[in-house]
Amino acid sequence: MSASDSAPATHPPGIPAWRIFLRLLGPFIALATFARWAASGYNRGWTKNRIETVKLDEITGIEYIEWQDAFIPGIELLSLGVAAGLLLFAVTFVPRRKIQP
Amino acid sequence: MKKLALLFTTALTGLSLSAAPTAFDFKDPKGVNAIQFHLDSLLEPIAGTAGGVSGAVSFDPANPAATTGRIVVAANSLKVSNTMMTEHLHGDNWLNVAQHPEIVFELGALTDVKTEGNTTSATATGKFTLKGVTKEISVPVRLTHLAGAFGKRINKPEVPGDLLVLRGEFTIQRGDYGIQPGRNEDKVNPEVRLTLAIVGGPAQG
Repeated sequence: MSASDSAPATHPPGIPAWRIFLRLLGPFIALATFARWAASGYNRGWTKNRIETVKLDEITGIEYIEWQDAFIPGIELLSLGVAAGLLLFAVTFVPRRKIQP
Repeated sequence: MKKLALLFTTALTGLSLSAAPTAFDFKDPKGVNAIQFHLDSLLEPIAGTAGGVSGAVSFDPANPAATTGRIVVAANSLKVSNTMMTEHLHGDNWLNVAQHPEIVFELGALTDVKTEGNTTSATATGKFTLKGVTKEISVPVRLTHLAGAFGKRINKPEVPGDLLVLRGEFTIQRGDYGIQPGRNEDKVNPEVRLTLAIVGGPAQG
């Protein structure tokens, strides 16, 4: 076993903790948003907070709609979540300003 | 002779009673009645319902052409699958439901009346009022008279009464009714398709 194998993991020198945190948080937000959107059925329309169920009134033969509360994220929430995640990730690569003496 | 006259009068009275038009109330206790609307828009079609249906229709199965009536829809009952979009729809820029709370169709006449069994097909011409603008329109309709079906529908077969099912579909131009005329047509189609399938039961009183 070499000395480097047993050494505790260290962050690359010069990267502050907040950058590492945001570098992890950004992709997590983007992936979580995508996963939530996908799990709700890849809704390519606008976000819905109620869905319609078609029912049949047997005596009259009328097909009617019953609304039920449900949250189905749409394409605008997906875009917003992914954009926010990527922005957070990108921010961590902005170089530090050099303080002029 | 007197007996014959009495029999004749009774028969006439009975005939006139049975031929009398029946009033149907379209405020459905089961909450099934709704107008469905559909318009194409950017990304996906906007579809929704308006459940606040009321009004009355006077219908005589022996003379469907004499049908008269008025159907009213509460404008604030319009809803789509997104609450924010529903609020926009109710707002000043679209339907302005605070100022124009009712959407009304007042039947003027039924033409091209054809009856087969208990179903009458016809063209209903009348005044349609939306957002305070009234226009005369013609709508193809189908009226189905379900004799004695009211009690069965409310799970009380002993309760007498008929049902009248009214079905129709028509298209309007939103701009004709002052709903964003000539605006946002690239995002929201100017054409709105309205579908109705509503049932009326015996009117009270």
